[in-house]
Amino acid sequence: MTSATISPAQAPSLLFGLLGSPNAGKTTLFNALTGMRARVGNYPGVTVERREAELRLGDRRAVLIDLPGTYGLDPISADEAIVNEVLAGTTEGLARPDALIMVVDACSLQRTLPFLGQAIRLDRPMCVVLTMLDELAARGGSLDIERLEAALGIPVVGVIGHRGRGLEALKRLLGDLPSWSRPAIPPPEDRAERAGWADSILANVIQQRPTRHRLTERVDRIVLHPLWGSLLFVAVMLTFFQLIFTWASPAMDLIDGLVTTLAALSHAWLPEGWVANLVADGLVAGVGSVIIFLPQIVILFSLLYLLEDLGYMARAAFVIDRVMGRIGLEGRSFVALLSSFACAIPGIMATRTIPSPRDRLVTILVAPLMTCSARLPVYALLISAFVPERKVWGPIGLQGLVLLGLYLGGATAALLVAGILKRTLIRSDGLPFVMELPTYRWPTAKVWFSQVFGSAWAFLRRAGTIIMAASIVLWFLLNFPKVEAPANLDERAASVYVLEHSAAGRLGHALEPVIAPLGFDWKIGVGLIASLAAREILVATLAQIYATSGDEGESLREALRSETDPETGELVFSPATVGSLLVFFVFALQCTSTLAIMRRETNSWRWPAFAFVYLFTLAYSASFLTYRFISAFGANDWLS
Amino acid sequence: MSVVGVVGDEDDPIARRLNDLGVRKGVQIEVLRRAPLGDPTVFELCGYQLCLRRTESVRVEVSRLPGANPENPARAT
Repeated sequence: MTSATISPAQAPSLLFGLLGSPNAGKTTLFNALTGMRARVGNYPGVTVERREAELRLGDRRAVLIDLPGTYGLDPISADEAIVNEVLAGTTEGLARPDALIMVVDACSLQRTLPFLGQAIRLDRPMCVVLTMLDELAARGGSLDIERLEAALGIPVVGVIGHRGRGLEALKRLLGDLPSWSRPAIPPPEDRAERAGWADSILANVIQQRPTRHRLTERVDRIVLHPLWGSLLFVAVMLTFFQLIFTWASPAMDLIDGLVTTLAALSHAWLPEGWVANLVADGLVAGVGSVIIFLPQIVILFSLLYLLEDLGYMARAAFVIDRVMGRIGLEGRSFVALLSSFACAIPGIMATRTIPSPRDRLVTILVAPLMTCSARLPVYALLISAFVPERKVWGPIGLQGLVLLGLYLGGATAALLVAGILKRTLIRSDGLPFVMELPTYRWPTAKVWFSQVFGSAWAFLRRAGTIIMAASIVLWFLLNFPKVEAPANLDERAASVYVLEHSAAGRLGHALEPVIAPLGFDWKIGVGLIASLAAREILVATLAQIYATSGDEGESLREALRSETDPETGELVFSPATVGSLLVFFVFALQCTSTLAIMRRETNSWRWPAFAFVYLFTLAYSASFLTYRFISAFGANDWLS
Repeated sequence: MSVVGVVGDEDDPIARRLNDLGVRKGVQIEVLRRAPLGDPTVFELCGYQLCLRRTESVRVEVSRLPGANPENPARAT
């Protein structure tokens, strides 16, 4: 570079704040202007998402910050106050915006005008972007943009964000800040007077009021019908849940197979030793444990954004709101909790659709209680080994009933804990439940794709690193220090010996006094430590400890059934221990990936730590009670 | 129906929020439908559809006739 050229980075960059109501098309405009290169973080101290991105205006560099959607500038909670703090320039690490862009839905101008007046009173350079002009026209409405500009005294631009129309004019305007007009007289400060100001502008600007959206009206007659609407809700949710399971499993099996092949290949290529083991079982398995979540995340977000962009998600929340309201949450928490039945990772990521940060936090904290698919292999092993295949009533068997009980137990606990949290630690902040029902519209493929891609990428980048690091740490715990097994042991006994003397084995022994009241011995302790990476690893670890070849084969079940305590000669897996272990898995947060995603979504270690402690306390108490109960009253009469 | 008033003064956060949502004196508001379980309700006002729970919507006072006596308002629920 020659000294004559000035790099654009050296010129001071402009900071634009994007202001507007939820559903006004703020995020669509943000993405259209910046091309989906947002840096996403959190505002300090709260779970409110902060998004900003660079914006090219000719050769000038500018930064656009997407402020949380709001209906006015009178916050009624600490989280809402963020907007005012950013506008005043008092937010930590963020300068005061040089200019404001206010996004206004042309169809609901009547609602937004007083807010617009309030924003103009901030006396910052400001312009208005009118969105949804296509919808306004479709509903037979029209307004005069030039008159609006004259009445407000600030520039107004019409834009159709998802089609990119009007964007060039907007960019030209943003690049020419000194040309922006300012109103001669600011709008009135008093609320009632400002309403009058708004009404007089409205009368001058609106040529034709929009009628109801006819398609929306017709579709809603069925979608929100007391009977058909409820049936549709159940059908959509069941399909949604089923697709996450059935569509994801082939892809997950494929990834699983690839990881196994890669691990075998690294064993073949690398000289035998701990380096090969680290690469194969630590590194490759670690990467595998991250990408194994991708199919579920991609499918969940594809369906979620499709339903959201169509306009159905708000309707679903509307239908189920009363139920969720009972426990202090709202309709939009339902989808996140339902998704957590597949996996808590996408479930927790799906909480972003919940506008109240406190409801969102509570939903995140209880999501791990929903029975995720990683618990299934554990349940399947223990139930098939210890619960007899007996028909209880008609085609309904005892094994199925136990499994159903575990699912219901988790879901009930999630709702109870949510109710308790909302009444104690995380009380509502007085925010009323407020939700707009948007008109139905076809999603554009480009926007849809970029939303899904953005979520998948955010997962890989934000949680993937932590998950991988945790997998590798656990690998070290299970494999180091390496102790040579005595020569007289056969191969299987030797591998048990090595595991027993590893850090995890020693931890298992050290844990024994703590977990003995639950009916667990040190071997189960090692299994629990290993399952911190992912719950299903318990099965593989038990297979290794009990020195069997197959993971889920008859041999492991037999080994578990016949395992006896070397001192007392009693069965290790007594009905009480099995019941206790199952209950432990219902509650315990044995999933570093969930902790990692909680850390990322709440922007602190405080909440994952809280979730970890409360869920383990719950698991420990419930397991203890189960163990005591079954020991005292016995289950042999129905288990044998 | 048109809005006659909202219970709660300007310092009341819920009243202020309803005001920000367009529930202001003189604004036309219609009940569109209730959720299958009876709550919340969808209202139409200012060219958009808004869901409110009963706890908030009881604060909205409306008159059924244009020019009706605002001394004796009917509740929107």
